[in-house]
Amino acid sequence: MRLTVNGEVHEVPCNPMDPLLGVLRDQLGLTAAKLACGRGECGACTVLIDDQPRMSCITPAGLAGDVVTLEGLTEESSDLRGEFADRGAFQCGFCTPGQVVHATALLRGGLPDDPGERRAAVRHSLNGNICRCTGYQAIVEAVCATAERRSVDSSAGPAPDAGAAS
Amino acid sequence: MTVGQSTRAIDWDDRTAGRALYTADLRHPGHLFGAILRSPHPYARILSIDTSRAERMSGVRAVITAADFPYGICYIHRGRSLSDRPPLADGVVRYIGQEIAAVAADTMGQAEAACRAIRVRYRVASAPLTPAESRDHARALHERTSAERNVSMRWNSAWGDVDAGRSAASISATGRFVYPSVAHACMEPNATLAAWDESRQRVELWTSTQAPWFVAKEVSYLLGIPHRDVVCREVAVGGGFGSKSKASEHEVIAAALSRKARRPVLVVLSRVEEFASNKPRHRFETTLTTYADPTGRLTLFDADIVVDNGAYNHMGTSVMRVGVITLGSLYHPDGARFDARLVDTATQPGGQFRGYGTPQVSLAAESQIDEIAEKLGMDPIALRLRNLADPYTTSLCGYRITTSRLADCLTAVRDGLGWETREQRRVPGRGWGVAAGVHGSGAYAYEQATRSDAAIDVYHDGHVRVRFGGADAGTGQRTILAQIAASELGVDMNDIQVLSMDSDETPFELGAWSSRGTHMTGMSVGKAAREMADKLKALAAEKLGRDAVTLTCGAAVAGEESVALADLVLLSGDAADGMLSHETTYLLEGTEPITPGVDTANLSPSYAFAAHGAQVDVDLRTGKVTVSDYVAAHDVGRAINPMMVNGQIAGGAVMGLGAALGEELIREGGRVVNPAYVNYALPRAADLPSVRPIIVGGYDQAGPYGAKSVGEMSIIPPGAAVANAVYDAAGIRIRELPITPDKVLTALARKEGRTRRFHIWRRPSTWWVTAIRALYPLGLHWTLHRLGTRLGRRVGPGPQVPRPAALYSPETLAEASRQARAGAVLLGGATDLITESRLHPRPPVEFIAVSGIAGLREITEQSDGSLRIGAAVTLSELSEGLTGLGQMAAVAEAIQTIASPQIRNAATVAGNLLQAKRCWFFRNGFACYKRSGITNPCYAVMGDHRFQHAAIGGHRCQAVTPSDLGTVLHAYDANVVIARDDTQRMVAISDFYTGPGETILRAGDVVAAIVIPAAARHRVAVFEKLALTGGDFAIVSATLSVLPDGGEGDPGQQWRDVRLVLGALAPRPLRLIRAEQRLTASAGTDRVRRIVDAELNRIAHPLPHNEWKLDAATGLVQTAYERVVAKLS
Repeated sequence: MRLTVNGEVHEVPCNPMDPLLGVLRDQLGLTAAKLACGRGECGACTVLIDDQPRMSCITPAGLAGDVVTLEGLTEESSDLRGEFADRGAFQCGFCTPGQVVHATALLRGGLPDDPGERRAAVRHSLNGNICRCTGYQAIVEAVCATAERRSVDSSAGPAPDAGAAS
Repeated sequence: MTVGQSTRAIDWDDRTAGRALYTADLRHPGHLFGAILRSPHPYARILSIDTSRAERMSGVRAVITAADFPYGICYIHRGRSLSDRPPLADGVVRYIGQEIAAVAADTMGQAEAACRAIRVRYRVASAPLTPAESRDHARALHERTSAERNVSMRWNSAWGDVDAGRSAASISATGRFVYPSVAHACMEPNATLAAWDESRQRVELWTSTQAPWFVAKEVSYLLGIPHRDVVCREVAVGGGFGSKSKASEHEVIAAALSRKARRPVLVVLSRVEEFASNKPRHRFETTLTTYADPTGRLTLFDADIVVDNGAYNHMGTSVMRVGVITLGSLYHPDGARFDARLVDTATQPGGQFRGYGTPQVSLAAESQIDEIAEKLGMDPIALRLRNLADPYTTSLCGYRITTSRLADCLTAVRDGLGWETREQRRVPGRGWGVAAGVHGSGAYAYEQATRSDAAIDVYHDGHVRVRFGGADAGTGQRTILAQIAASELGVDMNDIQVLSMDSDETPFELGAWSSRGTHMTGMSVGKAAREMADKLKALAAEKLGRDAVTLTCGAAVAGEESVALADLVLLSGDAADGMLSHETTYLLEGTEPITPGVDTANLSPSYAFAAHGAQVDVDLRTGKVTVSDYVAAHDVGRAINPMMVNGQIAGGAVMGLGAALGEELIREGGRVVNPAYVNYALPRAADLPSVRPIIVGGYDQAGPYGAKSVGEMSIIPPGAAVANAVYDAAGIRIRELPITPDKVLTALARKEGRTRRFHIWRRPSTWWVTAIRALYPLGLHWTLHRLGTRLGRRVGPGPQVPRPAALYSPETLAEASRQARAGAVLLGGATDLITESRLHPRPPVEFIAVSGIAGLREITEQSDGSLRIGAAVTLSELSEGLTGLGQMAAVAEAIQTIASPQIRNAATVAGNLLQAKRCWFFRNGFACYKRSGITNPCYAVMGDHRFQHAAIGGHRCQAVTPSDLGTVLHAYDANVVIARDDTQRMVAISDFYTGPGETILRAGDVVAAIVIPAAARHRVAVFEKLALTGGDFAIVSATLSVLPDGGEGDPGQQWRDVRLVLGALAPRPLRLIRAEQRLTASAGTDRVRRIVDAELNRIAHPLPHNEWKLDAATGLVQTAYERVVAKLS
């Protein structure tokens, strides 16, 4: 089966109904996305499919479009990840790949400018990413701070993409 | 000085980039997969186990049972007579989920299939499932040393002068408090990779643990090999919270499988196993009476405590002990009397969980202190301040308190919440509550718990490595130890590595539990680093010929001269292999161990304190409690890394709030009903505000760099803080967590003297159901459950590996229809497929992807003005599309409450409408009537039906239609276009559903589109929903849509064609036809309530515990009504 992941086309010996997460982790060695529930309920497996955050643990590989995992977003998310580190937005780190992937999509899509609305929008979207360690607030602050920084920078410098089609 | 700074976690780049390797990420060549066979019965004798068929199956490399272990062997745990659990069930199983056998095979599918092929013959017998059942007329689950049946331990004693306390008192408050069993729900499922080395007779383990030493202790004992031959390796660990602070059952199983198969074996628990087979928090029932004198001085605590042990001891004895100690640790009454029993039940054994008994008893004590305050007319904060013990005193339970800044914590909460001016901000439903607490910095709970070794290596290139034997499951321990080493050695954080967990390479350390990490390893690493620094300074002094040497910036400096640490290493005669190493032992003195028979002990070197304050907004119409502000003030001594301390405060508080507001492991017949994130109400990102942590600055000489603990302290106060706030908000005292909407509305109804009458005797259509429901507890349920299920269809696949599946991508509806008629399954976003397939006896293997069919993914305006929404439009696309059109706002509103963005990006309109019922018995594998056939019971009749079952029209099945989209579309007169072969037909949505999540569709029917009539597109509508957490399924929903009168005069004045649709209340979405005709723009909220109540009472037939949903429904309608009026004005 043919699968496009992080911009590369792979031929993978798998069944089209195999969950995408298993194909990414076991056949392609991309272990950033995690198996935490296997039921699409917690978000630890979040990847981008056609630029949209999706639960890879319940997506049949044969129904996946263009897949981007955290391994393909390291550059683009580097400012966000620095904010994560500065604010303690991760502790055990297991939910973190899913959080970073989802937040990266949110940041591309444009969050509200008003700080209160922005915070609420981030919290609402991250309902799809359970964290048991941090209580969420540091994650939300990291995403909001990155959005703020990028909106200030965008009037000064190039957009923070890394070859991703937004 | 890095100590005291909020430095980034040392591995932040790897963790945030997904490069950190957790056990299941490791690629060990040729490893096998392990699966565990678990007991389906709460209590049964095992008559025989036949593994022959499993052993012959393809790919199977090893099968183990109790016969593979020495006869009668049990985990050591707390030793001696308390040791009661075998590694694999030996002749008897005592809880649903207990391990009976395990298989290692080439693939996980093969291992699971082989487990299903193991034939076990059971003689099922009854056994007590609750402490109440255990006490009277029940089987003894174990032989215990206490004098009472099923009481594993009893602690009946007192501290101080009980009589003086009683006689000094003028008032008291009494109550029974319940803190339920809750799950750790760590994000990383437990995982162990075991690699047995036959030539060296040792096993290497990469396991998700907080305490490698304990893993080695138990695994070595059970395998009969020396402790040093169980070698743990460092691996990233995804959360623990206590669940991984002793050995876990699957660790031994993985090791034993590996030894038998002579190959490495990876065991990863499923999320169901995580919830239902792991060891959760112990449930406590605390009956407490608190006494005080007229000045508000607390004089006596008097408690009867029942702790649900579950089926095996584990740490139950010490959890109970620490729970009781709560009463003797925080204030200084004259005395405290307690009688505590640890009661065996045939359910999941309790384990270690953050707080360890203290949150449970604190719920009682801190709630009751507020009750005392109210009786005396005193401010709750003032009452607590009045009763604080001074620093450097000894508490009733023997704690020799060192520093205590609890008073400052309370005043910080008072100021942070705006406590003094709160009345100015009071609105209906708003309230404030506080709670205080104390927790040690590592209890002397085990031999050698007072010892911690650490090592420092300085390399020839000047970089430094810290080595300690514990494990950091996310607490930040590795980082603070690096900070300590950096500070002592004058080295930059970037030049420090930390090695943890490795049994060969790291020195003795018992691990992370009891909040001991900061103290024990902070001290040992600090000592090692200082001693290494002394060595380096001595070397430098010799080299430089100077005495006064300091270490800074990676060098030893004396005046203007310096020598790099790297060079000192080369100079040292002790260096080996290019590095200079130093190992040291830290021995904590002055603490006392937990000793059976001794009632007091100074367990910890220092004690942390905290006060929390909550502001809640209770929706008095739905019962939903929302925390709108939360302040958490902590006395941690000195914060070695303030950012990380804040993280522990916020994370622990949120975990405690989860238990306060929604978390609970629910069981039916001993089986966990809600072993899934979707059914377990832990907080999600939008459910809580940001906790405001306050570190009350301090310094405790007893601790490393002045530090005390924080990790467990923060989970202790939230229960009582919220309970107190809810009382302040609504005048109802809830003593049983979680404080869910059902409890609030039931209490409000009782307080206001409201009852509903359903006149069942006047409604013959209800008599049959009433009779059946009455017969269930009289033996009908037992008969159907024990006997009827033997005749029903199996739940889940049999002992075969699932066949590979085929995916079709038809281009036309006609083609899809033909494939569906031949038995293939239609897929929208497939978001429910995998979960549901696991429960099918023969999972489907042919699928049809409809997303490629032309027209199915579009939203189009039709020529007659109607709106056609293709069946494969995703929920996200529909929400966005409607918002863009500026129409049907209630549909977009409803969609935004569904699941998560990830699900909405995949889930389709048709898929959402057609999703199967969400009853948690049906979904989580109970062999119910709908799952397995007519001889089987409906588990919701006697089981927990408070949230997602019908209060109206429940019949053989009590479930409801879960689709919010399906519900709201009723308010827009939607039609469903169904294709079959080459034809299409249109059905009104009100005729579409025939039952809970059941439709008129037959094999071969394909939903093609939803069509909204032109007139309906302009309806003004709102959608209101009550759910436990963000994205959860509705407990009840209300959609109100009206056509404002387009005639002359005020357009909002008259309403036409009202649609009032209630979701999740009846098997199908329910229109309140009579109410629709009586609702008008001018009716007013009170009249609306009466109108809706009147109709509900005529048609409702609630189950014993879901009548409250009717109140919630009425409440939602009132809110919807107000919003529609506002929209139109």
